[in-house]
Amino acid sequence: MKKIFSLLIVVLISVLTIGCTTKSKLYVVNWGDYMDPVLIKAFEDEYGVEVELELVDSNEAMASRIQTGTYDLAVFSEYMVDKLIDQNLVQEINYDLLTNETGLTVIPKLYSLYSDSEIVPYIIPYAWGTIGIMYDNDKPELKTLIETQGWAALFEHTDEYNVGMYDSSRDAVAAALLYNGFNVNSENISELAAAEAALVNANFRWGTDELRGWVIEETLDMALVYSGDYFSEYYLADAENITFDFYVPETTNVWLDSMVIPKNAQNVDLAHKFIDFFMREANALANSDYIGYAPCYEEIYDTMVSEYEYDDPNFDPYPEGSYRQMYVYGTDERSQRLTAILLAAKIND
Amino acid sequence: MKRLHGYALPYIVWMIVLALIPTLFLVVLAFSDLALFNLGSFSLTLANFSIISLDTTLKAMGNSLKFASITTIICFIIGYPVALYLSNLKEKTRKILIALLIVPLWSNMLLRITAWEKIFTPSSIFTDIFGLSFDLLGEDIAIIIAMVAMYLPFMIFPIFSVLEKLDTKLIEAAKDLGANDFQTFFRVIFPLSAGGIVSGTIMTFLPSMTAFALPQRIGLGSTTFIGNIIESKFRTEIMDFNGISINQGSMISLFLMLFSITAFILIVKFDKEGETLI
Repeated sequence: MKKIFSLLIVVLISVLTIGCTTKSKLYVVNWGDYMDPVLIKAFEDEYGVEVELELVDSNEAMASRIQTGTYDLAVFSEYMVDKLIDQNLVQEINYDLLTNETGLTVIPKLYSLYSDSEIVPYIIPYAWGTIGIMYDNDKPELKTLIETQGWAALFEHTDEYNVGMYDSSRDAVAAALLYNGFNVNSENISELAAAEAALVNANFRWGTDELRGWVIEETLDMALVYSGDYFSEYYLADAENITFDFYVPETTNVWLDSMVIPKNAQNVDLAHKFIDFFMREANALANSDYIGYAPCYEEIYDTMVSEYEYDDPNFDPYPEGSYRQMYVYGTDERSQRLTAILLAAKIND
Repeated sequence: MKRLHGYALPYIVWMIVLALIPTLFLVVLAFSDLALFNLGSFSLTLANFSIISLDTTLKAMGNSLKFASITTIICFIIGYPVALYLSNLKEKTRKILIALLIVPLWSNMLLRITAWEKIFTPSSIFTDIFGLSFDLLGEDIAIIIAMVAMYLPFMIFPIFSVLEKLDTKLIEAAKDLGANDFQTFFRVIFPLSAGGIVSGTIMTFLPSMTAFALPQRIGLGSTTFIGNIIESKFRTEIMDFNGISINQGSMISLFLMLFSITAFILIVKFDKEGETLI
């Protein structure tokens, strides 16, 4: 008996220690397919370290990771950074440890959206985009409808068309607020009630990452998606045979994903080196080309449009003459209200 | 025999770490304001109880009960005759047919859900080959078809295992005493298979009531089950509610557990040896 147990313990210990090397490790949590693996490998080789990448599919899931575990770097959307600062879960970026950041300039119109927010000292902008309507372009009348009616096309035609809505309280309510002509961050009780009514009265299909696939396979005629959802399908699709399109209404939300360093990061120095590495112009360019979303820096953006043929009219999340708003976390009460609105909308479909 | 008891240790540790402790946690979370991600002092409260009486929770519960009942009834109507048929077959044919029922169960349920999802898209493989389109995604009927397909074997096997062991002498005796086929079935075979029916009903009803991936994928999220509410309490609302959503989710989970416990008591009552449980 004893022999068996000691044997078991030996086996257990050796299994646990396999894979332990002396290389220092950088723990990164990010969204799927949102960082060029070639660059990660290059970083590992250059610094003789290992990058442990963990993937999640929502800001909320990422937040619960950094609440429960120890990570050195994460990529969050703006409103969640706001909340993380309140909860004391992130630390300020130490610009003394960065050398390349100064070489790149955040696109001014993007910066203007968050320049007076408390998130500024905590973030290194990574990519940005909008929410918009992805639709099946086999139907010419649908294209006309969406282009003439904008948000109303999503909310007023759920009886004739199969319409998908994002199963996320913040995005669904934002779309309903925009449809009613209100600000995405509205805390006004009657404005939120109007948004709730719009969501409840429409007969939506609900999904997250699935929505774009459902539009492509024509289960849905149109759906609210992030610009990133559209672009990742657009770059994958056979150029001759693209059956879907994307429309961004004149007024919409802008999301900004940024690299942040969690408060309890073990390897703060290396995290800064990682950021620095991704801020080198060549690397930033290669990474933006890999993920396909709009880069946050003028130099990179211009090169992508002029030399890499990113000339899709929707590539610019904030074109001349449009109106853009950015989420703020707001109060906990508002968040609870958003959750209640989403549930009410879903349960009544 | 006693010498062998030590080998049960891994199992006991396993059960304590992965079943007992989490269940205790669930109970504490449900009746307190303990923050799961920030363990510290907490006070007992009944505040989380209000989530049960919320309109949305009740409607989701209603949806779950409705779909689970319909699924169970359809599974019974289809499953009983199949079980009866299987129990009367020759050993060899029976084995082949049972294998046909079991083998699909060995593949992951999410895969089977995805397969149904693909069948119900406007242009599926059936459209390519036969020109047929089952454009049903998002419809209630699609959820029911997929749930029946998913859980039918769990209705068939318990009933089959009772019918298979049924003493044929009883049937012969019924016939000797002048009962026709009809009477034999309703007065002898059917009552004797009650244990299997109870197990089959529970094993179909409980998983379909707690389904959440299937209504999300096949129903395109337009029908909310109680499982979807629990999922959102644990996955997406965490930050919004400063963790309170986890306590509320625990309360709903605990409430659902009542169904499982009741079911367990019923099974123990009707099937003392647990022979109908696979």
